[in-house]
Amino acid sequence: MHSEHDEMLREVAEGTLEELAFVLAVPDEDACQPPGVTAGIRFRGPFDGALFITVSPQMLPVVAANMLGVTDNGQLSTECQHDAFKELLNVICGNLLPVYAGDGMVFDVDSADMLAGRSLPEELDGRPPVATASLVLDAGRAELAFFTAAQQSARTVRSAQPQR
Amino acid sequence: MSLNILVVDDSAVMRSMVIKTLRAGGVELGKVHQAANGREGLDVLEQHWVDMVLVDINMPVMNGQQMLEQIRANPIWENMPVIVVSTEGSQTRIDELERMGARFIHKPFTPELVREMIQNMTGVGHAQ
Repeated sequence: MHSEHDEMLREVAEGTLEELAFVLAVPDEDACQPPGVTAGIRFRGPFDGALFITVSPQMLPVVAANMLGVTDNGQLSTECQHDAFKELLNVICGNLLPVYAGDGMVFDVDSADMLAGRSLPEELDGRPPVATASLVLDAGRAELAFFTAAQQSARTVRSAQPQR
Repeated sequence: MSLNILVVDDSAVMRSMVIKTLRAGGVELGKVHQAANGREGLDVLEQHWVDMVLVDINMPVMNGQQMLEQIRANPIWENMPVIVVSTEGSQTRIDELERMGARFIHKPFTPELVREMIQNMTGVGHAQ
């Protein structure tokens, strides 16, 4: 069963994939972690955390070509593909944080990094993910995992903020 | 009249996307300069005439907000049109950037939105 936070992550990821990378994504109900290429991004603010994404390797040139508006994705270097993939993660993270924590909180988001491992981490700093999402894409799959180091849930922190 | 612009983002792909989107929106571009962080961006401003800066927020070395503070502190650039192109979701930070005279566009953005914003800021029309 998917939590409210899972749905939140899924909706943000689907929307960003569609609007930024022009990749159609739908929920994958038969989630099993496939071999893939993984990137992670960390953020700092009222609470710290990280977001990770892993996609099928064949999606990298597709994402990069779509973002750059080129038709021949075979000409795009690995560096370019990784840059596009990391930027996709950056935009997903940036769009997720105000949805999760409210637009009154200020976060600093680090640059995304490609990860040597090929799968999503199962825990971060001893904590399981707050939210996960599995998506079927045009030509592959994607999975995301969102971690926070918050002692309180975002909802508790949000409700403690002065109302606008 | 064409615009000489500076695009500042630590992602080369995003810089290319911004430039392509400006052209797709009909903005007539002159010289296009690029920088990967705020420090490099200030170096470009010191060496080249720029009509407008488009800058991301979250970058290493010097972020976009720090770069904007430096721009506004310099009498030569204090009235430079600046558009922040970012995933920034904090209304608190957006309000702060707008108080420093920047306009804000959220990633991802459409050619029409950026064209309209540039036209409002500079009075420069469309490319023929």
